[in-house]
Amino acid sequence: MTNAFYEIEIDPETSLPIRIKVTALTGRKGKTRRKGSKIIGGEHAAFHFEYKLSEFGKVAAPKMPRNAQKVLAKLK
Amino acid sequence: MRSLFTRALLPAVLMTACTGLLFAEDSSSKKVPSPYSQLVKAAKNLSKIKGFKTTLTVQGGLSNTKDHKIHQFAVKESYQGDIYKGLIHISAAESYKTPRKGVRFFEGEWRNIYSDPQGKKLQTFFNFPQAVLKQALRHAKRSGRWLDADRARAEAGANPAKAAEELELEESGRTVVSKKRLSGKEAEAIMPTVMLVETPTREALDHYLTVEKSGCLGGG
Repeated sequence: MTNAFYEIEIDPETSLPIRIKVTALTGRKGKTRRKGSKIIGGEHAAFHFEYKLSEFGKVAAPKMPRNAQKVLAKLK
Repeated sequence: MRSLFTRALLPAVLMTACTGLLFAEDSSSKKVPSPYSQLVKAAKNLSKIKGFKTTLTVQGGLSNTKDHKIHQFAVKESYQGDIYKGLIHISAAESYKTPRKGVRFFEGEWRNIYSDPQGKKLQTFFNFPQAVLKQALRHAKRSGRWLDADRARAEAGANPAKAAEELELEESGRTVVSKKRLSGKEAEAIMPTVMLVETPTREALDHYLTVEKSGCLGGG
């Protein structure tokens, strides 16, 4: 059994996303508590990826070293 | 002619003006927008911005609670990256990545980001937030809901009119409570801001398999 969901926070003033959290869960046979298809407790594996976004429009183009550019260009 | 104006036209003009004002005030207590429409707007606004900073925190392992908090960690990483158009620069990890490929400086030279486990993890975990939003958008219409809608509603109250000020008239001992409607900015402040979007089982499984393939589970 697997569940995943996104939690997204939006700045009401700018209407820009300031936090994006992705959660992926997977149950374990006989150990996970569930309600329908949702994992609600018991032992389960969980992964959280939380992005926090800031300084919109304040980041300049990064200066990539020439050798890095060469290697990147060669990759497919 | 003048009496016709004062008897019929003037009240009509006044009524129209008052109704207009009433509606103008009601617009401040606007309806809560759908999570989908707000997400579309947020994704569109973000796509217009060339550069911004992102901090990514990855936590994975075993949980036994309803809020899925981890008690036994398999992975606990944090990255800070500058995103500019289609490029992420993670200075601490000496890496540059695009959505599909990346390079990392290790053992004295620039190499494919997949050449070492740390780089592989980075490439797997650190996605462009724009792409993550795009994925969420696919399901927001069907399963998107506000998490803090109740709080926003409670703050606004059933009637957006609120006690704005309590003024005690000097030396009179009387208190005057003036009620006013919320201004546009105040109404905005109590709008819900956090939404939850659930994905179908198939995509949930894809998310999990991506993590598993990264090797961070240590063969578990």
